[in-house]
Amino acid sequence: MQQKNRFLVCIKRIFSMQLYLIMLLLLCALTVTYHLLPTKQQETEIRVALFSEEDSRFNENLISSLQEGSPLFKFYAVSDKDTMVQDVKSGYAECGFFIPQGFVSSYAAGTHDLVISEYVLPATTLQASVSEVLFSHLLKLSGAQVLSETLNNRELTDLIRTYYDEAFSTDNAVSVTEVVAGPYHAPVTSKKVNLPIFEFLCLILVLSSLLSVLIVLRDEESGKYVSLSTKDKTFMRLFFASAALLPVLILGSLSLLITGAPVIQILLLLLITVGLIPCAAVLSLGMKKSTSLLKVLPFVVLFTLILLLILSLSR
Amino acid sequence: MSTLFLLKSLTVANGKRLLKQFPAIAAVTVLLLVFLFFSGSFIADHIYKEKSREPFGVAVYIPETEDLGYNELIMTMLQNTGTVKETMKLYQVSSLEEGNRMLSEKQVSYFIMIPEGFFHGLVSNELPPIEVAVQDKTSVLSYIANEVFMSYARYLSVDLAASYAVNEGAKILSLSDDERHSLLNTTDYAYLDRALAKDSYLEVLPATSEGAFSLKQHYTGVAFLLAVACAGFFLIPLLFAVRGGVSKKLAVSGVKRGLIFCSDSMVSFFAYLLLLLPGCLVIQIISRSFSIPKLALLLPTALILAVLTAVVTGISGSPFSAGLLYFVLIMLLLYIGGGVFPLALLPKAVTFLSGYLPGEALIRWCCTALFGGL
Repeated sequence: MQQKNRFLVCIKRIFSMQLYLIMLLLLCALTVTYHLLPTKQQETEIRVALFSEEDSRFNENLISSLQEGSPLFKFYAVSDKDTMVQDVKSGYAECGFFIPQGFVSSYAAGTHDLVISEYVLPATTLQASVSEVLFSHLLKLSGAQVLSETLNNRELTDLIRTYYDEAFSTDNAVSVTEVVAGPYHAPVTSKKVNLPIFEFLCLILVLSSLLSVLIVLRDEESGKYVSLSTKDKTFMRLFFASAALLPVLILGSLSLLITGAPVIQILLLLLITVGLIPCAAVLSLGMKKSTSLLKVLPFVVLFTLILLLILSLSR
Repeated sequence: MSTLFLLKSLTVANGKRLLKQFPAIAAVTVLLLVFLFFSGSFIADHIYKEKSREPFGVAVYIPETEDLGYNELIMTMLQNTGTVKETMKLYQVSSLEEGNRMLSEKQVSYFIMIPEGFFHGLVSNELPPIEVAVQDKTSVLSYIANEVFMSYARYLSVDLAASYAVNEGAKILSLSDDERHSLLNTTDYAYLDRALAKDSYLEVLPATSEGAFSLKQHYTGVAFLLAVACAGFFLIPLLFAVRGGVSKKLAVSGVKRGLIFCSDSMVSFFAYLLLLLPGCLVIQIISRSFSIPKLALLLPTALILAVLTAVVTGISGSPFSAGLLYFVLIMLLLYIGGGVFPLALLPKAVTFLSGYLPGEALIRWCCTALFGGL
């Protein structure tokens, strides 16, 4: 009965800490926010950003040729290189191309002086196919120029341009029967916005256990446990740790259930809580001053945050 | 007591305490920097998830009546093309039935049937159309294969158009057969170069860099900034201790809060600068980007950190709440400034905010001071 009363006192004292209450309220707010957030519709179109420094007529021709000729890739022009790179980085575009000024002349002459830059991410899987499409259209548009530069014959140049354009309008080009069903209709997927609830819960658990250690250390400093036996002191340490961690476990499990987290996360939460209770008790036994804990507290939180980030990235 | 004298006395008192604790603060900063550097390297390697796409099967049928030399040449050219190597697995089938069977058994997603007389048509400019069959008309794999082979068809069409133009031009200019063949060969080589040596006109670059810095340099800059900023956790209790010790004296003298704020800022500024300068010099030497003028950027960095420390100390009731508030503010600044996740991955609202808060500038200044390049 006495132990039960002591445990209830511990709960009361933990709940009188503002920081603890704020953390619990934040958890509730995060859960409610997750529940209220609408499902996000995600398009799976394969977009390709293009920024060219060539003259505007050539750019227009290239973009329209790419847009008309490619049923899968959605090529679009951007106004500057930074926007193109940002679109690739954010995942909006599968990859991005930068065509420097004078590239077409250099390409037609075959000098390799200037090159097209293709910006990709580790997640980009279609860069080779996309660049193949781009270069085939580029060659089609600059084909006559390539011919003029290659043959370097003035008399032929004018004739070549006329016949080259004529050749494209006749039927002697390579034709492949169209097998795909027109422009590609990318499936639209629904996805709930991912909030780091589990990571936040882990952080609250670590902070709560440290707060319980802080209370025990302050009590010891003010001589509240002088009359208690070693066994009772140990019980008090465990009671404070449990009083701080159990409400987080209960609320956290509920939050994970509401947000549809996998059962393994709830089990993991239970495991962390069970592990932290003796850890907090041992820490309060080992530490001499509450001020020492206050000094290391931000570092512990920082380490926990970084470890959680690393864990979530390696998953 | 004059205001200046008070300011000097308060700063000297703070400075003396700081110097006593400085070796411990520096040691913790170094340890923290090592931990944060390795964490940053890991984050830089994993922040952009890697994806891979398994190569899918494509069957090619070339009729036996065609020139076997052409068959081999075409297959070798296709198989050696970078795009085909990366995205698909080519199978040459000996009959249409075999190709259709592979298609129905889902061994291949795309089946190309070269018609009889196709290669002769390349010379005579009378090309029969290439037939293609797919497993699923709406599948993305069919579309990918379609894009690749339509690109090859486009290259071929360009070459044919050029050959046609050269032939017609040669006729009008009454060139001899030898001259015409020579021109045609030159034309074919030029177009083969553009189609097959495409990679020599293209450079593939990672889009992962943050501004002028690679992702690794960016996270090293963040680690450096965060490690130094964490010295604030030692500075805040120190500033509180000095203030507590002389608080009565200050109250009697009618010292205003502004004076204490100035003193706190000055001491914090020197503390941060003492940590930033040697740390930066060491990293500059290691990364072989030694530059004294770039070190000037550490002054505004130290100033912003110092002002933040002084403000937090001034408005908080205890070292504990001040430390916690400082921690939250530093983490928020770093998050909004792209120190946790790259700016491109953050929500638009956060990206908008980053333009108005000093987080991004602090990271950029640190990176510039460490690795150069503005």
